[in-house]
Amino acid sequence: MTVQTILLLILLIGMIAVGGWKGFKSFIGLLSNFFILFFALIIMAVGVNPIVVTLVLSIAITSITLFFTSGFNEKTIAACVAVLLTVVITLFLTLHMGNAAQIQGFSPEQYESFSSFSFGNTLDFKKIIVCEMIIGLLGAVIDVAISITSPLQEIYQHQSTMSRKALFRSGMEIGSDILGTMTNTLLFAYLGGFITLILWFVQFNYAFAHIINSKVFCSEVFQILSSGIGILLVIPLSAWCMAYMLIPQQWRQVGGK
Amino acid sequence: MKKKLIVVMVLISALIYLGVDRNDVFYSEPIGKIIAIEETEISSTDDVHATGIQQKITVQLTNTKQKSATFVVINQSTVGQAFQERYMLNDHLFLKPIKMNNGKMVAVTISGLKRDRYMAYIGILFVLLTVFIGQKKGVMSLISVCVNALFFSLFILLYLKGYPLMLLAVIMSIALATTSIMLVCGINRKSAAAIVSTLLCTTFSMGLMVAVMYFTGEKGLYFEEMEFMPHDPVNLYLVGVLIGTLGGVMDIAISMASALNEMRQTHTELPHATWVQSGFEVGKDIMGTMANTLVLAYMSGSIALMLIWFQNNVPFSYVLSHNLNLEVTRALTSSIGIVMSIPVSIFVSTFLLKKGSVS
Repeated sequence: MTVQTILLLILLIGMIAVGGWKGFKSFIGLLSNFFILFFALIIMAVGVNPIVVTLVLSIAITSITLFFTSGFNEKTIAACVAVLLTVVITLFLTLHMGNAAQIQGFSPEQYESFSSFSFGNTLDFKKIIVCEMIIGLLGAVIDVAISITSPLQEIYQHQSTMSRKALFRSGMEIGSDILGTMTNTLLFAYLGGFITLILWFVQFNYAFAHIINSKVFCSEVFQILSSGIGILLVIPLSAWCMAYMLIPQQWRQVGGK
Repeated sequence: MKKKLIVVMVLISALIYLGVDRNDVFYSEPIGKIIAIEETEISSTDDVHATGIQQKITVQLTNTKQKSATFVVINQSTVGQAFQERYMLNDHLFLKPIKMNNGKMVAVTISGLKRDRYMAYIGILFVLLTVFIGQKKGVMSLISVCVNALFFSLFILLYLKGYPLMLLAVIMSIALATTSIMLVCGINRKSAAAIVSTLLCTTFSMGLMVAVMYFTGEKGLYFEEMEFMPHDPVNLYLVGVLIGTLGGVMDIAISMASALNEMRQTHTELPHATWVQSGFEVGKDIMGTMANTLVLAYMSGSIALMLIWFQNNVPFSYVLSHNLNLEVTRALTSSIGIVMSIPVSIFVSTFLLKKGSVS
């Protein structure tokens, strides 16, 4: 019995106890995402373009997380569209800037672990780093998207005279509320792994100038900031998608024909 | 006031944007700007399976007393660029002198790429987007991030001075949770409920993880795979899990406390049982997506490493067990904390918020 199997069992029991049938579905969704990711890695290892894999993977993970657990309805569809749009924009941004900054692959500090490996020609690390960044932020972006579309649907149900613009603004309000906690959540998640890196830097007396230019530090900062940018972009996108979905056509309320 | 803030931010951003490109003079290390590149394909000497690329680069110094002098340097890279970089025109490179003549550099070699401008660019983009999309609350979240970074730095400093790691970690966690929640929710019962529930759940799930580790003899955890091997891998790993779990649980606790408070506010005569049930309904929804968020965030970092292992024909089971074990355990512990925080938040909130609601 490994640590992982026991914790996995505890998690399953917990999710069913707290969430019932929905909790069980969430658990299955979680496992599926894990296996899909694993499968995507195998495909990338044989040479399929990581950018293509990232896009397909994003669609797959988003669909499972939203449609499998919460069903196929207005809020999940709007959230899905918003997430995919965000992924495309952030992907383009990361590809362009990340490649210019040359943060791909591994750093000189990690060389020892790889001395026995061959890298071959099939893996293009400039594209792989983009995959890492997008997948890292995908979960958070999905979370924010559904957290906006879901209450928007509730609000519209109670007040169906709202205009699309007003609905959009409500969505932005909700978004700015969750922005803070979500950024912090991701920051903490990445910070956990950051500790050993920072200690390494300090213990080996890296100069400040060296640290801020080093590949490994920059790639961590890039990951955190691009995740933040992804979360920021999905807020207006999901508010707009949901508002558009609920009110497809603007019509004049007074004396309209 | 809002318009003034935006104008100020845009101005500062513009200044940084322009300044970071010209800050070479502030560096003591020699920096050269690439003005010409000649590429040839070579068979890489290190790696027999990879095709190499050799760049003959002409750089022009942008700082030091020999400003504007040019040198020719060689850069070797592979097509995949796992370790090396393939430079482009106008990149700024850090240089290291390898031959001096009367105090003047005669020959140099590349020591790295100057990346600070890209950090600045993405930093500016992030801050501007936050201010435009998040407005006042966005600025609050930026402040919160800075405060957290400060606490974290303090933690590192004190640890290196010799203070006990676990004690520092616990104090830092309490400080992080308390300030983050108060910055988001204000100083009221809602925050108190969120803070209490966060601390309870994080403690419990960490305790659970340590107990499981103890009873299985840490079977399944391979600390040798930790990057940047520190002196104290197990404890530092635990601190990492603690911080990650704290983040996830905090988010759920705040969402739950807000939702429960909102419910109580709009229906002041809400019977307790209905209140609790509604709470569970809200919790069920957010539980799944938050767990997903954490799993994907943790696993993303290992992608490149796993790909190398697959490429080099390392068997699947080995990759699963040796590469992912630390991340998977981290994800599981955080997820357990999240799941637990739903009933705990409901219990704490309904207890604390019963007497008078919070606006």
